[in-house]
Amino acid sequence: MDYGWDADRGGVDPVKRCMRFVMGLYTNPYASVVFRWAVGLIFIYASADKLLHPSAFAVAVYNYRILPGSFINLVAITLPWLELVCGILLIIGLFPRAAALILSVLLVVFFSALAAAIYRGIDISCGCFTVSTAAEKIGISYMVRDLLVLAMSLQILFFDGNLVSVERLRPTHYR
Amino acid sequence: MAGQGKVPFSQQVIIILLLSLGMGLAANALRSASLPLVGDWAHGTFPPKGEGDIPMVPLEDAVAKFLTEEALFLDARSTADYQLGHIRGALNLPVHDGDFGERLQKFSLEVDHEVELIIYCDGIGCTLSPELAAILKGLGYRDVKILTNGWTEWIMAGMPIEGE
Repeated sequence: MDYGWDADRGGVDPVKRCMRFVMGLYTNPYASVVFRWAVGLIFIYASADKLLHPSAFAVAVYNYRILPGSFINLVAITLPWLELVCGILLIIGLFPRAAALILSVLLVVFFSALAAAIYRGIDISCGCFTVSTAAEKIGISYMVRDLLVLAMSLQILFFDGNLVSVERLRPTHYR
Repeated sequence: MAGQGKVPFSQQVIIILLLSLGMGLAANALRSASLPLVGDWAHGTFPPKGEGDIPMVPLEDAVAKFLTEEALFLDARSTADYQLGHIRGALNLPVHDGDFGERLQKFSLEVDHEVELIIYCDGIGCTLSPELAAILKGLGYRDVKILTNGWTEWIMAGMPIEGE
């Protein structure tokens, strides 16, 4: 293929250069600090309405028609706390990679649930940030949003360098 | 000793999970409107699970609570039936309608868990009321009763209705 460059003259494929630049940004440990704050704030915000209205959240979970009935209440009781705890840990930087792993798994589960509901044509509100039924119905944009947060969460999991974090404060041999 | 006190990654994950589980269970136990750990979501099955736990309310008691406005009446029949006629002031939670989930979610946000609820449908063998009652119990509503054969009994008693 002709990209308009000549490898023999030592030129670099512009597509590769661009990819290298993006990967450089993505793997940068300072990006982890930004992403930790972003993902942390997103999940703390997401947990608030669910913590206040667990029974409405239970119905929101039920509306996806995925979980067996006996697990719905347990999820409604504990999931918001898991989101809150992981969000706080990401921001203060304590066990950030473990928190990012848990949130990444959750985001994959959420993505699957959204995909299944949309595929089956179930017309429901997301229950992601609010349990109000006045919220708009789920659609593809919710899945894209989920993937963006997942990309940030995975960056933390793989490239976090403990910058600006509680982990820094602990003696090296305790890390 | 090298590595002493270091928390392995897998243990970090487990600590976070157990901490969240504990906080969730504790917060739920402490709140006034706590959810039962296992709700009754298996609706549509016959006979409905938990039917035996739901008390029946005699017509006279239901009438008394209607007149004193002590209880909130819930119509478990379809929206179409509800619109044709229902107990005056009753809310509609049509267990078998497609939009039941959304309506239930709205209901749980708007109606306090302490409110006394009287559920009715139509016919002696009607399973809609027990199904709805079990679901509401599972959501933490404390005082749920069923008025058996409610719609027919209500009309026979000549009590106030509304609808088309």
